[in-house]
Amino acid sequence: MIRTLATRIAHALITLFAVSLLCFALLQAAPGDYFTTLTLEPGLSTRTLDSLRREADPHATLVQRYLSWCGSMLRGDMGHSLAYHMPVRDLLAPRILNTLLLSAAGLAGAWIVGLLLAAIHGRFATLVHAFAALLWSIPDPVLAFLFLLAALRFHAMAPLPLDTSNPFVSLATAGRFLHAISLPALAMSLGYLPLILRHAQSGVAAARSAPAVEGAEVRGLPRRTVWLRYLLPEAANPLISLFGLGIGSLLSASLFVEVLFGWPGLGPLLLSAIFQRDTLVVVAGVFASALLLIAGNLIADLLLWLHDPRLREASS
Amino acid sequence: MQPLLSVQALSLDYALSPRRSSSVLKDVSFVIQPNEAIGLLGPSGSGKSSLLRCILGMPAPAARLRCAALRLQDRDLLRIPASQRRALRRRSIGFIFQDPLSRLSPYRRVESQLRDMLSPAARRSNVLAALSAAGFTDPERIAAAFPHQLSGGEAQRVAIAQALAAQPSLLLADEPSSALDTVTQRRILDLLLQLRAQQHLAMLIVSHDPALLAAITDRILVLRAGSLVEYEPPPASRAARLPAPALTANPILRVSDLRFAYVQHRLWPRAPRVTPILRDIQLGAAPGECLAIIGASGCGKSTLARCIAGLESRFTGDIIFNGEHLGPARSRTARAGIQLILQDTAGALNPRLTVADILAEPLRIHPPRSAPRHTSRSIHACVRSILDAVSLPAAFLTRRPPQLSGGERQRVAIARALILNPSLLLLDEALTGLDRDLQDSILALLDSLRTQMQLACIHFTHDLGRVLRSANRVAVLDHGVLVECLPADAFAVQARHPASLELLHAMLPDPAAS
Repeated sequence: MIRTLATRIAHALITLFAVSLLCFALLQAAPGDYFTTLTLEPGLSTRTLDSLRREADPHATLVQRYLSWCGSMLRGDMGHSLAYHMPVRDLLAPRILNTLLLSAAGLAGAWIVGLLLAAIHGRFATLVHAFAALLWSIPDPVLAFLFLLAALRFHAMAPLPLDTSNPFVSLATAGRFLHAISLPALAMSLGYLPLILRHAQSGVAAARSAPAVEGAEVRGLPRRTVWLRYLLPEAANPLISLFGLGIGSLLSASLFVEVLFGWPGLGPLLLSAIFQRDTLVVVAGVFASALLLIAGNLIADLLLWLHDPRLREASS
Repeated sequence: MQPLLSVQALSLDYALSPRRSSSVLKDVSFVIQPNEAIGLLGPSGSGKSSLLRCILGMPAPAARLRCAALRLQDRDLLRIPASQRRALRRRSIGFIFQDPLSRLSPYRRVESQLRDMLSPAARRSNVLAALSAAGFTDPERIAAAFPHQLSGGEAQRVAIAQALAAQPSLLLADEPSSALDTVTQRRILDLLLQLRAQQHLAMLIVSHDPALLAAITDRILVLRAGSLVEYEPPPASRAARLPAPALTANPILRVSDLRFAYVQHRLWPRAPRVTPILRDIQLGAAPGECLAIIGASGCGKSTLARCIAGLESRFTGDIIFNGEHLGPARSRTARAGIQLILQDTAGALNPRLTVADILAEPLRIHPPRSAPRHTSRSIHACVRSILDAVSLPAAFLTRRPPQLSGGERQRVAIARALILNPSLLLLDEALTGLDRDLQDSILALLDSLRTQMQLACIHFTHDLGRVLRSANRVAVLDHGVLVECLPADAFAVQARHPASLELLHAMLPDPAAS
């Protein structure tokens, strides 16, 4: 297991740097840079711009630029944002926290509701199935927008807290925060729900007719025991993989919802950074997102390994 | 005396569509007295398993059940609420499945699954006692094991421990030993006999094997086409064994110094892990001869069959077929001349092809060297005649494997193997799991082909019973070594090796002979 883990982490590091290199190269390949938009400013001469450009980035080639970025990255320095005039780390940290809070709340809601609905058996299962299909057939952004419009009839939007970095300092700020997060989190849950519901439903349905579960039924074990000790473990494997994917998408899945609801998360910031060609911000955002994806996969594998004794045996 | 279980006028049919239904059980009535063991015999598809599910109160969802009374002691199983039925299943009925391993949850240790069947306050010692009662000498190891670490026989013992943990008064068993090899099967049956004597247990045992039921039950009920009929011991009618062919100078098959090992290459440590499967096998078969290679499961029978058939090529030693050395690449004649039949008929036939296509395929793959070439008409004639030879009606030509029963599928597989007129037929447990009548008819068919076409047959099996009557010679394979090779009629008397003696001891007496 230790060996497997070591190889996995080595692979992860390679992936991380490959992703950031790709990101650099793509941004470089696009015409223009951050300073191009500044040429529209009447007070700035071309010469001033050139000196600004040199000052911001003394490296001539992509490889040099990338290597220097890697070096500072290893020291824990993510560079400086051109557009915001502040360290990328200080810029991103609260945004990432906001996004994680929103996505985690949305995902948790979708998982809880999805698992509960999947337990429904019999006549109403068809109804649940149809509901999931309906939700799934609406594109996520449209769904979120429709939800926003509908919710505004009943729910006065809370003024968004600009700084949610520490919402739980007092009960009042916590209440305001919960009010503010409730709508976007619900919208996210709705987008995720059909995916989880479908997987959980088919998993439970397959597990219901699994020989081991049928065996437990025949032995007359109480319903609760059959569910908790035989049926759920049988249905768990695909759900664990899905859970890992969910963790991986914590930073990226909420983009539409963040933009629509004006949530001060990572999504809108990255979007504007791409338009402004604020390279280091984009690269750092992508890097964080990739890191989470890898961590999600690793966590899912670890959970599977803990869950299934046959896997433990195969890897030892 | 009040019977333990009484079933009165039980009928069951499956609704195929709102209008149509197929009848599975018709008006079945019987009683089981306390401490009585009853065998339920019937060919596959006769409704045995459905009847057991009815007694459990769990008929299949699409089934319609009508029953005058289904009483366990004083309670009618079909007229009590589901929760009580569940509790009754737990406390009063033990159930043993055909496939014990898959009925255990792979995610939890044996101990915790066994504990579910005991009371919540049960201690570890109770769990160990239940395992010891099922014949384990090392209950600690079994309790700590996950199901995938158990062998088939161990899993069946765990299942018995589970079934008897709550001390039920009735034990139901659905083909309790058909997934096990003969030696293990015999041990399980001995255990059941012993438990019955100890615990005053009533048993209902379902099987397609009359010898098994005759050995452990008081009386046998026969289920045929959904109705109970009287049991009559089958007549001892089989024709005498064919005489062994004269040993000629050129055997059809000669295997010398055959070795086979699984080699697992690793990055580190560099030395590969070698698991020897077959060691120095010497074997010969004359044209028209029938050879039985017997051994417990895991002794290398299937690997030997696969080596001869050409499915494994990394063996060392010589396999000479009809004068040709068989290496990794073998000639078309050798490939057509050696045919292999497997136990798993469902996996051996492509479910998407019709029987006609399945039987025609070998002819298309192996066109005759010289003119005349096959035309679609000549292929059709060949297919018709071979189907006739395995006594299947021509109507089967348009069916597909899923529409056939296990026995019918096995006959199609045999027909497919015979359509190329092979000179050597390898049967890897091909008769195991088939009904006795069917086994007899297939052996009779092979006997006639042996005399007509000088076909040599090699049976690879763990089941001595049927094959011993047809084979000329019996070879015993034990842990990859051929330990003994004797003429079949002298085998019972002359066998000396412990592995052979164990197989002989496990053989159940034939009810027809007694």
